[in-house]
Amino acid sequence: MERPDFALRVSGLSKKYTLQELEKNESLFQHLRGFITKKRTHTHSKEFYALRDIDFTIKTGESVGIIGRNGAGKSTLLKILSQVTEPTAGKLEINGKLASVLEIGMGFHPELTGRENVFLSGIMLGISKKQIEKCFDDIVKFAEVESFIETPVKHYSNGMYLRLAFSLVTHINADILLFDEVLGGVGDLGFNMKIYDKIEQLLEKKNTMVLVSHDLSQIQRYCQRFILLEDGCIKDQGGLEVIMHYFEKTITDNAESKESIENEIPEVPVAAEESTNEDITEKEPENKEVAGNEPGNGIIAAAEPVIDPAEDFEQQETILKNSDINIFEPGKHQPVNINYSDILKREDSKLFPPAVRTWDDIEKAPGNTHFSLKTVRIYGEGKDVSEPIYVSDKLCIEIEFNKLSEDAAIDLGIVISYLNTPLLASITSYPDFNRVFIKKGNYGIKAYIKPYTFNYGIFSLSVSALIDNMMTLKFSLPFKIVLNNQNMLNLNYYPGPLLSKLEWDIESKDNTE
Amino acid sequence: MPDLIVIKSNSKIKVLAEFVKIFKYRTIVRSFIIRDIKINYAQTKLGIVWSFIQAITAAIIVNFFFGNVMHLQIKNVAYIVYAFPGMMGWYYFSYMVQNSGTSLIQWQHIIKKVYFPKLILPFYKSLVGLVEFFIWMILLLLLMLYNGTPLSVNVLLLPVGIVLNIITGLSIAIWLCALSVRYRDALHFIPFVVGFGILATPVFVETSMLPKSLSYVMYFNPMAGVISVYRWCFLNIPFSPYYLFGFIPVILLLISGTYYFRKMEKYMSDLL
Repeated sequence: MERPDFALRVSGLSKKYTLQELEKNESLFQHLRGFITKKRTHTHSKEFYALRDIDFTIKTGESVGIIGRNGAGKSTLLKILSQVTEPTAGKLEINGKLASVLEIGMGFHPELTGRENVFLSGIMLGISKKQIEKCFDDIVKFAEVESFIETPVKHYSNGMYLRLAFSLVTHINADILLFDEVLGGVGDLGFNMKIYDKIEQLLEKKNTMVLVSHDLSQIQRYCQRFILLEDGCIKDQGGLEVIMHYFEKTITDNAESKESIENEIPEVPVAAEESTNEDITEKEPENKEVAGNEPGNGIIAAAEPVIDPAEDFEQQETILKNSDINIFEPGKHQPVNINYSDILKREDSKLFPPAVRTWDDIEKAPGNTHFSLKTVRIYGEGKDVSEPIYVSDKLCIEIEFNKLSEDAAIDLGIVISYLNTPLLASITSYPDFNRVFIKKGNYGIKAYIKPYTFNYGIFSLSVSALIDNMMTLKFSLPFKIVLNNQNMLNLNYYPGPLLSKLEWDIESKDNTE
Repeated sequence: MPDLIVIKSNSKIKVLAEFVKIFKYRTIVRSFIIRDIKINYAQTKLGIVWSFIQAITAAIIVNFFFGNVMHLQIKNVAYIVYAFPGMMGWYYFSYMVQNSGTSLIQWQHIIKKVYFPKLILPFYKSLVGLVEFFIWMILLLLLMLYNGTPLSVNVLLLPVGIVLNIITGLSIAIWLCALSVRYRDALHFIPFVVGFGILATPVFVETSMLPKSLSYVMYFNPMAGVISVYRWCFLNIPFSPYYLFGFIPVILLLISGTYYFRKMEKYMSDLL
């Protein structure tokens, strides 16, 4: 029989849940009574489609990211793909050995020891005992659970559980791998690095992978294609532009909801109530120093203004104490042998929508009665908009706008967002928030951001305007910053949105009095 | 490379295919069995001795009540030697019913994360029960030796009896297992099956001791048939071929149970 060239094919897939079923187990007696009196007890039961009419094909060797909001059906889809639950309608074809890590961990029996579970799970995945024995040491070593391998897994922490599961699944040479939230899932920075490295290796080996993650910056690195789920339907699928659109929409939605609910800043944990807007102004002077005073450079003002640093630190401390986080120790996690030029090629080859937005229609353009935007452009200095923006590039942001009224003073600013951080930085167009009186007409502003200010990843730009009051315009323009040759080394080891070029001084402290 | 797997939501349920699947996944069955045996025996101080203690205690109590207090007499054999094959068969049956019903809950962590045919669960439990069964059998042979009862050559056909015992247990176990997915109440039904069932089965008494009308009813009790087969195997006590009627409901229950189980399997990971 000729083997088809796809790894997974799904057609017309739907999954229906009856909410009543999920709420409680109906008692047999009630059911019988309902049956006899012909009155069904669950008349008020609601049907709900977790997935509706899903179609897609994943080719062998392809890695696909599934993105979408919470409750969009991502996990349900993965459960169906890994055969844990069956679809209500539709067809699913799996070509090859499939292994999955679902929602923190895999099928481990809590009473069994780590060792027994590895063997049991291996057998469940269709691997012979001999094969597991061969790679058992590697699995345990990778998972860093050597000293607990004879302990029942019920005593394991979430982190250990996930590590062992991930390690097992990636060591058994499955053809298709499904990962639900393993990227940055458990908050152990050190192990996350290992996960990233491992996924790189699997990419090199041309494994078929399906990744579900909220971490867009990671998922975009490992996948060639993306499927955006919304309310159980495929909203969009394709290359990087899917992520871009999704990201853009999330940011815009976020901005809108921020506007409608005043003083409530979404996605900022704890301590949000205690700080007010006044805090922001107080902090500004300190921040100015950081940004440097080179002319043309914007001022980074009050990034993430709501968390009190001291409190945040305390919180971090307790989190660290209460979990088995391996704090990232240089040298402990040796980089795996990865061919960085391959990654580079992959990154470059990805379809890359240029970061330009133009509004021809004044009515539809963002703005108000005083002004409206015409064009916004982001590119590396001296390059075309269609070329990739590298970390080493001086970032050039061009804003063209129409001043519609004569009298009002205008102050434009730039708002940068990054993934889960709705507000990474606000940058004003002029220092010291001076309002500028300009006449009616067309204007263009160019703002420059120093090289090595932002790390690689997907960012989004929006424009804020201070005219009568402060407003953030309802649009966002995603742009991607990539690493280039000079700084490819250890790219996995320095995550985070910012990447300042710092001055480093090293001096010996051994013989100082 | 494994076969291409095709999953269709509307595919027909084929009962025989379900059992073929169990065979395909036999390595899982084996490791489940090993795991259970380990937990049951290796992790207790006395291990397998407990099973002997249980069987011996049961033999002593039954012999005391029915043999010494109620003075039940059986032709040609000591009472306990006559009763013991019945107890053995019934014990095995109740083991299957009791453990299969809860096996879904026992393995829920794995059911929610990895695919395997769930029919394996009641099936493997019935094989785990064989360990206890053989312990009881050893005790039976010792009792026969002690009482000087000769072992019939029919014992060579014992596997037939065991298979009948297994399918009888499975027919109930599969139904209970499938029902317990949606209705946890089904688990409360188990003590009734085990507790009252023993009274409706000639475990401690001879069928000839029962009123004539009741013995016709017995023909439709598959466990009565299983027990009679055991007695025939070990003690060469003849049994009425009408007992085979009892396996008609067993086959029907087994087929319908497997069908229903397969239907419920779709919801198992959602409902557990």
